Amino acid sequence: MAYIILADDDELVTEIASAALRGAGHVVGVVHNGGDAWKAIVAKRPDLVILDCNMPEASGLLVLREMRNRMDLANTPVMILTGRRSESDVTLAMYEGANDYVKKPFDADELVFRVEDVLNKHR
Amino acid sequence: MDRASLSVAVRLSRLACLALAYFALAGSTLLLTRFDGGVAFLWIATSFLIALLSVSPKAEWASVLVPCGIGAAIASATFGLGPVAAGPMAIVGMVEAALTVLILRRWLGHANYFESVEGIAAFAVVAGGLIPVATGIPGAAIAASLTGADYGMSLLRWATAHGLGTIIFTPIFVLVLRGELRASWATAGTARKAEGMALLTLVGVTAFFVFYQTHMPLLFLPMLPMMAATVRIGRMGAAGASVLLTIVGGVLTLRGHGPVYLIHTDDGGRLQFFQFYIATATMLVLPVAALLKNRKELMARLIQQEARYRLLADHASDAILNLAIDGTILYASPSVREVGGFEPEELIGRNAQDMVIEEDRQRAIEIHRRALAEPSRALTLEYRAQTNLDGICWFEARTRAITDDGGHVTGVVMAIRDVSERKELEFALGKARHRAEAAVAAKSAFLANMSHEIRTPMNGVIGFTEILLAGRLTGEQRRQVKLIADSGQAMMRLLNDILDISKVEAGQMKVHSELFDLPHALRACLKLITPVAAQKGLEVVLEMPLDLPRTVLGDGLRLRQIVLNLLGNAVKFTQGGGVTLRVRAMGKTDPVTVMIEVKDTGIGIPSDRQAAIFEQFVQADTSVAPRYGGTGLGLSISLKLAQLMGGDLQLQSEVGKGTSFFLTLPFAVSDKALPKSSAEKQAGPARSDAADRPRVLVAEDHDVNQLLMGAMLKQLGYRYGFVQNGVEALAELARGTETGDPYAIVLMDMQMPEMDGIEAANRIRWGGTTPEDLPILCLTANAYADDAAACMKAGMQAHLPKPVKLADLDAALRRWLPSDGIAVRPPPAPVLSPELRERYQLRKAEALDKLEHVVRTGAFSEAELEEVRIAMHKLAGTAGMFGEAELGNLAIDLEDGIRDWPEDERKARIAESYQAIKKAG
Repeated sequence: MAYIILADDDELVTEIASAALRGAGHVVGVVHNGGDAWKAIVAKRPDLVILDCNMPEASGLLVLREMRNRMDLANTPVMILTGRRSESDVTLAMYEGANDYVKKPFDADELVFRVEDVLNKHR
Repeated sequence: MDRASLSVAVRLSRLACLALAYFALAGSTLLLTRFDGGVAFLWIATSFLIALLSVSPKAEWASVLVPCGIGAAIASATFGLGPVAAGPMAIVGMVEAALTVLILRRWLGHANYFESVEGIAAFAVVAGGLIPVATGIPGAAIAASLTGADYGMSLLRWATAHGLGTIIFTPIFVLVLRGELRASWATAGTARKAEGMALLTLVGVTAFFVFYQTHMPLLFLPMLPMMAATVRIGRMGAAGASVLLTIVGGVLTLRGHGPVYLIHTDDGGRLQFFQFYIATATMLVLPVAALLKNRKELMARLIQQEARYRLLADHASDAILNLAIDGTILYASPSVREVGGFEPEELIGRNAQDMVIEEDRQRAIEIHRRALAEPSRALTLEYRAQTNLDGICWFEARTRAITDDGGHVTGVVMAIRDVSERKELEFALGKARHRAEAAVAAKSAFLANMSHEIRTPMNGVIGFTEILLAGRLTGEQRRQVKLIADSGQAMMRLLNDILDISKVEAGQMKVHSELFDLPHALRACLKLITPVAAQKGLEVVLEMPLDLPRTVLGDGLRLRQIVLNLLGNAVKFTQGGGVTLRVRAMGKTDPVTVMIEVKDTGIGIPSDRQAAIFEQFVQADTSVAPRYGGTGLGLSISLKLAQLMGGDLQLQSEVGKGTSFFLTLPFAVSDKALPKSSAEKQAGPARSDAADRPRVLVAEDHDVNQLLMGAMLKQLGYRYGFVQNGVEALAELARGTETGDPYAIVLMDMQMPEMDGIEAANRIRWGGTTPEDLPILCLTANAYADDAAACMKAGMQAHLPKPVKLADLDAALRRWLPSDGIAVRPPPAPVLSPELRERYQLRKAEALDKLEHVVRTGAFSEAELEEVRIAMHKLAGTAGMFGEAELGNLAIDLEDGIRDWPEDERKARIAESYQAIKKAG
């Protein structure tokens, strides 16, 4: 039962993912661009953050890097959503300190499972 | 003569010599410097006596003063004022010398007047002023009364002659009497001797030149060679030069030569001027000599100290570097040759940080910065640097800032040693550890595979024995079949133990969190053990408070494993009495710590074995295994599991009285009640009405297992169908629905040809069949919990480990099959709501519209193409979630293509793509 910030500019993606995560008992806050994501993360101190790679205002990677540079957010687990063929994004994300990644399109159950896994490992 | 009289004679002769010497000195002074008024212009004898007294202990003063007094009296009687004044004059002379030395000793605390400026000042004041004036009062009175000279004039002459003589000559007498002159002569090299002699000669020559002429006031000129002699030869030079100047200048002046005669005054005035000139010259060089001596000693001490530190640095095996604040090397010890193959000189002036290799440089700079910031701390850094020996080596540097007197940091000192060997060792160790870990992982994988291989046939053995036992058997047959079943189960337990311990060893043992009913789990454990205990005539007691938390979050499976192991041991090692399971919550906190005590009245464990029995393959004593059986792994596994779950396992035991194990585990308390399983609600046989019996689909490729499952399901009263793989399973399920006799539950083997259980389950769920419509249970021979997780992920509801036991199968089917209108489990929130699907369709239509527009008009701007690309990107990201993976893939291809295709092909390929997408959509 974690508080999760979900950031993706595609509303269909956020609806599917948030429904799945809520179904698994999590509380999900949804934002649609990097700027809002950053504000929400700083304000809410979520247990986990899911960031889309490509978002308006600030990319997920940028938000991730900012988080890792801040003492208070450096350890918050982050999962990155990427397009299916963006190997370089995945590599970059892991290098920047992402805990896991999910490629779009994703299986909602897989997302939930991976979220649980990251949360378990982090506890 | 005997020895005593010989020594007396020697002493007497020495005293006579002293008297003679004093007589000669006093007499010659009187003769040479004879002046009217009966007072010598330069009195040397007293300075000799002062020097003599200064170097003699007080006890010997008498033997100095008496002969000298006699010598003085004779000299005075012979050359001075005659026999009348001889006695008093001699006494005044002796008192003068003795008083001078006494006062100076009292003042300074020592007799080394010429080794410090303070001493020289004291000497000048006492020996050059106070005492000559004081002794001059009676001395001049005697002289004046005898010669009729003016008393005041006599007093003045007495004081200047005595004071001047003492100041000028005492230093040279002291140096001679102390043996310093001889010693420094002996130790000096030839060049130095020649230099000293030359300088003193120069003083004499200059003095002669200056005092022989009476034309020019060149009195300042002798100061130059005097100063040179002082600087080069020290006190000896100063004293010698003063004496020389006095003798040469004095003799020539007395003979009527010299610049003194340029002064328009009488002889007395000229003499006084000369006296002050000599005194000034002497008082100029003596302090300089003393200062130089102090400086020389200080320098010598510094050099010695520096030499000591340099000795340390030069012979240290660590390389010592001294760095400026900016990292420039100011000093490098010779050991840099051994440590890095550098010459010390080639390092000086280079920046130390530049020598560190690129990867480590930032850290080196950081350490340097920190060392400067925290001068009191020594910091250690390991880094790699280029050397002249073996290329890049590992070094360990201890860095510490150095500060000046004011505490300001002036640089950094580093002690550096080559740690390449240690590093290599560390790397080798790391590699070895990796290899060992890989070996453990391989072992663990091997064991997992072996367990699968063994479990599959054991599945058959145990399953069929159960079937046999459920059927009709003679007493003898039943006993034999029971033995087969027991043996098989013992083998499975052993297998599980070995698997568990290898998993713990490999760090792969994971504990899972699930909601479970704690009292129920414990009761179930006790129930399992009760029949065995009853057979042995043991009483089984459960002590459980009513307020024990009911639903808790934890690993229920592992809890059961530990408690069963403890209960099993308790029953095994107890011959009479009973086994008690006592449970209580320690406090009301959340998470709450639950203490589970398993107490027996068995054989007990000796205290010296109590720690060891938690180790692998160890039992209370070696006779246990033959008598009681077991592998000795159970307690080791239990302890490790307890620790993994954040708890502990301890024991208290007394041989012959019994043993208590205390298992403490933390559990989060949940206020949610678990959905009651139908098995709990409804005991007793399965339904009897054949037509109502639910149909079970068994997907299993192994023929023995198929037969076994069939036999079990039949016994439990279910209808069933078989398929060999996932593909067949999907088809069979569809057929069941079509024919109006749908399957109520699927038992799905994990490993099947063509399509395995995971994929089959995935497809069933993606097809929209919900768990409440059709539960899927996974059959797995794989004991690893990871597989269970994979089952859940694939949309299955539970897993049944093989070999499947009749009771387990019964319980699972009762739990998961819908009955009495109770939902199997809370239905998960529908992820893809109709509303969402509608929006997806809208998006798809829009994307297709845009694409179609572009293709139809045939002419497209870059902006339009970009719009299409974004639409395709969005479609690609979601199509797969709505069961249109093919469409998603085509959209990705088109998205990439718009960017990558060559311009001349683009139009044709987009059109081609459009056709494909239209078809798929």
